[in-house]
Amino acid sequence: MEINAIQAVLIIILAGIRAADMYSTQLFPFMHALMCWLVGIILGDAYTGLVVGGTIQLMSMGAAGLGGSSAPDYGMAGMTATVLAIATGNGDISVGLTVGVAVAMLYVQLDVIFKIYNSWVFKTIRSFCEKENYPAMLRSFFLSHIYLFLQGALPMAIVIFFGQTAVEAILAIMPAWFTQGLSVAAGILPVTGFAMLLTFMPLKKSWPFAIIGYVAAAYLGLTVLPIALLAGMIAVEYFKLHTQGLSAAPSVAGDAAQISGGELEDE
Amino acid sequence: MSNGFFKPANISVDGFEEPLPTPKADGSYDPVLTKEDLDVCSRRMWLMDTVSYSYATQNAPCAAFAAYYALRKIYGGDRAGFNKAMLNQLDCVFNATPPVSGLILGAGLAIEDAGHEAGQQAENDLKIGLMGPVSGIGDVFIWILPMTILGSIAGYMAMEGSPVGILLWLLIWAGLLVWRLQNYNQGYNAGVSVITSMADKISVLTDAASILGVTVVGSLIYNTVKLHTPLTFQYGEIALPVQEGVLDLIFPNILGILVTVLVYRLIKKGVNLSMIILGIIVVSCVCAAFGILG
Repeated sequence: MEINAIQAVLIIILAGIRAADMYSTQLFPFMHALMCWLVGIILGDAYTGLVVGGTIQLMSMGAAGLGGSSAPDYGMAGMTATVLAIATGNGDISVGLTVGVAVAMLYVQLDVIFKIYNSWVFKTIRSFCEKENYPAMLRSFFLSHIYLFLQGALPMAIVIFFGQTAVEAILAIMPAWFTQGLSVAAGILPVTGFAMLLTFMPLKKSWPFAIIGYVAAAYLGLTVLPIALLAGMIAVEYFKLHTQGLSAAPSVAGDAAQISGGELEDE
Repeated sequence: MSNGFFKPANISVDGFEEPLPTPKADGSYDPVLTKEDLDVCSRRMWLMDTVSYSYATQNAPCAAFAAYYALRKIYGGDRAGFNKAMLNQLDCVFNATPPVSGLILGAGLAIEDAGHEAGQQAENDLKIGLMGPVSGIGDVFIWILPMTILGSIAGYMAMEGSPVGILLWLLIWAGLLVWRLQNYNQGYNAGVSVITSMADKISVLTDAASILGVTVVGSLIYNTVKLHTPLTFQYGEIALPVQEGVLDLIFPNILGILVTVLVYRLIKKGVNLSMIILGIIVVSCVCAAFGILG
C-alpha cells in the first residue's frame, strides 16, 4: 500500500516522541507493542501492528536491564518492521522484522553520539550556571529533548521514504531459502528476550518455577494470564511465609531474611 | 512551563529579593520546604528523568534541574550560596533508577534544607552511597519485573491480535507515574535510616516477585519460541516424522527449550547480543536451505 503524507507525518512524529519519551518523561518506555499497534492503527492495519509489536516485545524483554548501546533499539526495530510489513503488504512479517532489527542495530549506535552531545549540553548548562544566567541555564536542559526527538524522527523519515523500495528490491532478488530462513528466524528470535531476562533473574533460587510454568503451558494447556495468576498466588504465599518471622521479631528481621535466603540457596 | 506544575507559585526564577536566611544558634537552619515544593521537584525530575545523562557527571544535571526551585527557596536571598549549591548539584555524580531517585534526592534535600552549605558534603555522600542499593531495588521493581510480567503478557496477547495486555500495562504504569510525581516527599520525610533499612525487607518481596516472573517466562518459552523440523526418518515403507514422532514425545517444544538454554549460556558468557541475533538469522537460513528447520 501507499503511505500518504498525513500517515507519514504522524508516524515520524510518533517516532520522535517515542525516542524523547524513552529517556525523559517515560510515559510508555519499552512499550514496543504499543508503538507498533499505534503505527498499525495509523496505517489502517492494527492487526499486523499488534503481531509485529508482540514479537518485538518478546524479543526485547530484559533489554531494559542492559541500557546503552549493548542491545538493538527495539522500539525503532518494531516501528520500522511494522511500517515495512504493512507497506509491502504480502502478509509475511519476517522480512520486515529482519530489516527492522538490522535498522535498530545501526540506530542504537546513535546512542553514543547522544551521550557525547550531552557532554556539550552539560558544559553549556554549567557555564550558564557559573555566569548566574539561570533562565538560559534552565532552557539549555531542553536541548537534549530536542536532539532525542530528531534522533527518533529523522531515521524514521528515511525508513518511510526509502524503506519500501529497498525491501521490494531485496524481495525481488532474494532466493527462496533466504525468505524461508527469515521466517524460521522470526520464530526463534523471541528467545533472545527470554534468555536475556533470565540472566537478571535469581535462577539458582527459582529455577523450579520455570518448569512449573512450562508444565502449565505445555501439558495443562493454560494461557499466560491464568498462569500469571497462579504464580502470583504462589508468590503471595512465599512472601507471607518468609515475612512471618520478620513481623514477630522485628529486632532480628535482617537475620531471619538472610537465614531463609540461605536455606533456599542450599536446596 | 506553567506556573504551579513545574514551578512553585510563590518564587521567582532568579529575583533573589527574599530575605537572607539566618542560622540558628547551633548553625543549622529552619527547614523551609513544603509538600508543594517537593511535589514540584518530583514533577521536574519526571520531565528530565535521564535525558541529560552524559559521561561527565552521569545524571547529575537532571537532579540539579529537579532541585532548582527547592534550592531557590532554601537559600532565599543568598545569591552566592544558591550558586554554590547549584554547581554542587551539577558536579556531584549521580545515577539511580530515575522513577525511584526521588527517594534519595528528597532525603538529600532534607539535609541541605537544615544544614545549607554545611550539609552539602553529607548530601553528596548520601546520594553516592545510596544510588547503588536503591537502583538495585528500583531496577527490579520498575524495569525487570514489569517487563517480564506485563511486557510478556502484552507481547504474547498482541501476537494473538489482542491489545488487552498492552492496555493493562499502560494502566498499571500510570499508577507508578502518579506515585513518582510526588516521591521526593517520601525521601524527604523518611530520612536516611529508613531508606537504608528498607532494603532488607524488600529482598523478600524481590524473591517472591521473581517467582512470578520465572514462572511466566517458563510458560512463554513453550508458547513463543517456535522451532519445527520437517525431517523424517525413512525405514523402507515406514516414515517417522522427527518432530511429531520423536521430539514432541520427549518434551513438547524441546528444540525451543534447548535454544533458550544455549542463548542463555552465550549471554552469560558475555557474547554480544547483536552477534547472537545475527547468528540466529544465519543458522536459520542455513538450516532452512538444507531442510533441517522449516
